[in-house]
Amino acid sequence: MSKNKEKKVREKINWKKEAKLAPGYIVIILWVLFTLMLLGWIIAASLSTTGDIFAGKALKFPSGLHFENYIEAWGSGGVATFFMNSLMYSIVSCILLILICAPAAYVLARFTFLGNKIIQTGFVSAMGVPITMIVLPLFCIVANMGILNSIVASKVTLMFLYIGINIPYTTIFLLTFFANLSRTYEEAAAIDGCPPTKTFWKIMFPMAQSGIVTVTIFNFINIWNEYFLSLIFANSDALRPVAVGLYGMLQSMQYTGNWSGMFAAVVIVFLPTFILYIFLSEKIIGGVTGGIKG
Amino acid sequence: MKKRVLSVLLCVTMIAAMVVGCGKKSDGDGGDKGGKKLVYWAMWSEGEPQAKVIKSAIEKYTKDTGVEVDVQFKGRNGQREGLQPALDAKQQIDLFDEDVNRVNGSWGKYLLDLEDLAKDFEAEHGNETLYKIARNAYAQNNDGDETLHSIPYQPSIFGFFYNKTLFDKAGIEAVPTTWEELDAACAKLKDAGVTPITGDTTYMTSFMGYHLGRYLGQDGVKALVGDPAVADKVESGDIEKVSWDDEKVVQAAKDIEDFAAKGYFSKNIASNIYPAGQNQEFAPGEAAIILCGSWLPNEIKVGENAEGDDKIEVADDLTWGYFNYPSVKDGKDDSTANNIANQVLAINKDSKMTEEAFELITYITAGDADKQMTTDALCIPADQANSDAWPTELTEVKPGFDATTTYYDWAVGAENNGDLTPVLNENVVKLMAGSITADDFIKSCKEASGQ
Amino acid sequence: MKKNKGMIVGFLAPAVIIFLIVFLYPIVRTVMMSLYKIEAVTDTMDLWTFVGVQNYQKLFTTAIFKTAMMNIVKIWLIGGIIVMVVSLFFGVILTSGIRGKKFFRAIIYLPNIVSAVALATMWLQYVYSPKFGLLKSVLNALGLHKLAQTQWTAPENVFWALLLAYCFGMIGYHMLIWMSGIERISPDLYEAATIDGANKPQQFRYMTLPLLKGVFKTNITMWTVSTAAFFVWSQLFSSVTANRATIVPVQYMYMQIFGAGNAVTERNAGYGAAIGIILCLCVVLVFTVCNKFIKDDDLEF
Repeated sequence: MSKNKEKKVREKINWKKEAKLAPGYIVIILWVLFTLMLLGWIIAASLSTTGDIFAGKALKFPSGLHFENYIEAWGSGGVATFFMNSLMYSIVSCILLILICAPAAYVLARFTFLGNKIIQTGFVSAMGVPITMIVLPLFCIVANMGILNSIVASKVTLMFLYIGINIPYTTIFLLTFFANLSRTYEEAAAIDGCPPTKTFWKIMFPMAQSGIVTVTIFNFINIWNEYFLSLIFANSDALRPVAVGLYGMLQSMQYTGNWSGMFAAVVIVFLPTFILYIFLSEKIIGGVTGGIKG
Repeated sequence: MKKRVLSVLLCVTMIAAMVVGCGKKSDGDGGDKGGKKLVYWAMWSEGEPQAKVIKSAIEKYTKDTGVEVDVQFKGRNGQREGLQPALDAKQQIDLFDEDVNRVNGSWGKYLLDLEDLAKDFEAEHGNETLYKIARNAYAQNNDGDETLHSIPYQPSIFGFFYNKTLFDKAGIEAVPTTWEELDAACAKLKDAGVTPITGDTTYMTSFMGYHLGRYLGQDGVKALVGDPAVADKVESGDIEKVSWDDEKVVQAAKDIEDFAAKGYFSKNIASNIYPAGQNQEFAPGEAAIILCGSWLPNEIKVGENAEGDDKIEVADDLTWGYFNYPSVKDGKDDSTANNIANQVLAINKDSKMTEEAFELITYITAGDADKQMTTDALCIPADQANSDAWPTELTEVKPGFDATTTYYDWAVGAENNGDLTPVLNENVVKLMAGSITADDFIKSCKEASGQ
Repeated sequence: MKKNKGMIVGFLAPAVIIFLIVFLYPIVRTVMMSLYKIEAVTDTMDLWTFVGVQNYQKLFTTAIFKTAMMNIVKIWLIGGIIVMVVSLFFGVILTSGIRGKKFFRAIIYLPNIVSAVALATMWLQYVYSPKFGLLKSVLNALGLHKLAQTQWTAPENVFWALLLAYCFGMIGYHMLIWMSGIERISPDLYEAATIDGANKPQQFRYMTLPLLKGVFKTNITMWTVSTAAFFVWSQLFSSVTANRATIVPVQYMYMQIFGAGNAVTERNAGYGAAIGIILCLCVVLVFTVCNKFIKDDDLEF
């Protein structure tokens, strides 16, 4: 329905309405310009030379454009594998996270039962525990179980852990979205004889879509950029996600003072997330809205 | 619907279980083959020149011996965070490398005694200084046991680099060896319109550490900052207690204050976050002197080369010079005491392929690979057979390196008390920027160390 | 209600079981570790030395830890106010029916997906540079030559420089959360209010704000969690070791667990664990207080 509205606006510009929004436009446009300038600088730096960056000439390109920075950054072997790994880890984990956490969040938000508050507090305190204290002991257990010598088992373990460490976050995030939904929907469904489980998946789940989409975007980006867990657990090139693969690159560029190369590596890391972000937010919003209607 | 969800979950679990099952089988196959594979965790990141040299050394090794090597370039942080958990979990890691003190100190209990394995190699290739440091590093952390547990490579020294062209321009004839001479040189540089000294805040605790070290010696510095590792010795009187009120400490702070007042330090010294000082002030020839490690020419060279032909950043006439930290009046140590550090390779004592691992070490730390390090990464050669292979940028470092007879820790121990370092660093930087006085400096440090 | 029981268990079980597998052992272990002196995180228990609450006692008497705690509280409070206000403001503007909403939203969120390493380098080497920084040029252009001379990354100013850079990156994230809350409010409500003669600010004050209470709670929780884990930015803004002006607890913990900077310093994972526990308690405290004061179930829509 929002689509239709936008179309209407596009057809006919209501100048009166637009004028009212003018202050908003100005603020947002200024902020966006500032952001674009900063990010533009990063892209310019990635096409520039280290010397130019430190002489403050990154935006002037006195020595032309240096696409070789990208070739160099890409050149480290196995980037394609890293990408496929990251893609698989992120997609599988994100889907499972929603399937696991949305029902849990719903139950925690809707029903009062013994242990509800304890579970919530448990989740929140888990988010406060530094990742180092969780990942390193887990590594010792997992490694002693001998799982890490097999590629496939390691991949499953990694995904399991990505899901595990994001459960508290996702659940707590979705809690409010279910808490704020009106009970009238469930009551109506109950009168129609719809069992509560079905009511959840058919009615409540789609109604929390704005929260679900938002948290999926966050999860996706979190997992895509996750560094420490992958660093400790992915001890072979076949397992490594982009973050570890390219952050290594990034660090080496720093150590060797190749800053323009570092920025090229940064752009390579962030472009796919950005494209996927746009793709994800549009597709999922579209898909879920369509689902309700159908 | 609930059933559907459950069945989905069940399916996922089943698939996962199957995959794990399959994985285990294939793991068995892989395991058998993997028996002849050396696993080497390297402190470098892929793409660093050192990593490239090591890769080619490994290629040669595999060609010669037929032993495959699985090298994992972990980077400094990866090594520091991940190595010990992996060793504890008994992952197969046959050899690894890192800083000499960290390997022998933090990871000392995992190391294989190399005394016998390395005997012939040391006699033929070993650089006396470096082996002494390696043995000493193990001894320091293991009750004075001086057996060799690591093989050094890639040495570095910490001191003053300078721009010879600027020195000539200012009419400075001899390299300063004492604080007074440095003072005079800086005055000349300033008159010539050159910023005498710059640096990055990262290294500024080392500046003060060195200066204090010249007055007090390393043990004195450690006692002063309250290094927990020497706390017992200070308690028992083996090391003399030093307080921040000590007249030599005050004198050291006054020396720096004096330099700041005379305008010898770059006006950006307080805001030069690495690598701003070295890249924006020293390389383009704005400042003449910088305190840094001997890796500096390489860092600047790579930055310069990465950009192709147009190098605006590094002054065309930059000629590299070096001198050890000068001595001070009535000081305990002179300029023969320096912070020489190096990387070391060590073998896991649980390794089942110790001889193969050692052979790989010889391929990396000596001969052609060592030589290649000097050309590709501008390193100081570790193999005594390569002792004429010093990179031209480091020519002046050689006499300083060879003259060194006392070996300091990083920052002469001034950073050994992690609780004090942040305060110390901030106050040193402020002192150099002239925003606090020597008395303020002493007061803040005293407060922070609870004296 | 009986029907519900099965549902509650069925819905909760997967999340809780996985949670327990992944978190329970490490958390219990961390709590125990905080009572021991331990050299490395992965040391087995026979290498631990029991010290009781000494780790905690030592923490509360260590000046640098107090500084770190003060810094993180300042980041949480001041940064939190800035981020919440600005991001809500942007969220409201973007949902007020302006054109190019998706584009603006994407750009404002963009800094969040750029690696912190790159962002921090950009701020340090470009915006704050004392030689050719953006800030310097802008201030000079505005005629504020004296202000333009400021050394933004010198010890006196670096904390604020860090806070500003961090907040800039976080605004997009919290804006998305606000927006997801605002978008869920039915447009019919606003239409009805407009018909009743309420203007935009009134609608915002009396409708949007109260309806956003729940989302506000989410925002605070997320901000608190991300602040408690605040680490990378501080590290990038300091010298190799931590700086007094920007040190934060996780950074201090990192120094205790993996050693600090170039020097080989004493390591004590038990001490580090105690820091972790204190941080975790702070997060729980904020969450509990939020739950007490912001009841979201009194409002439904």
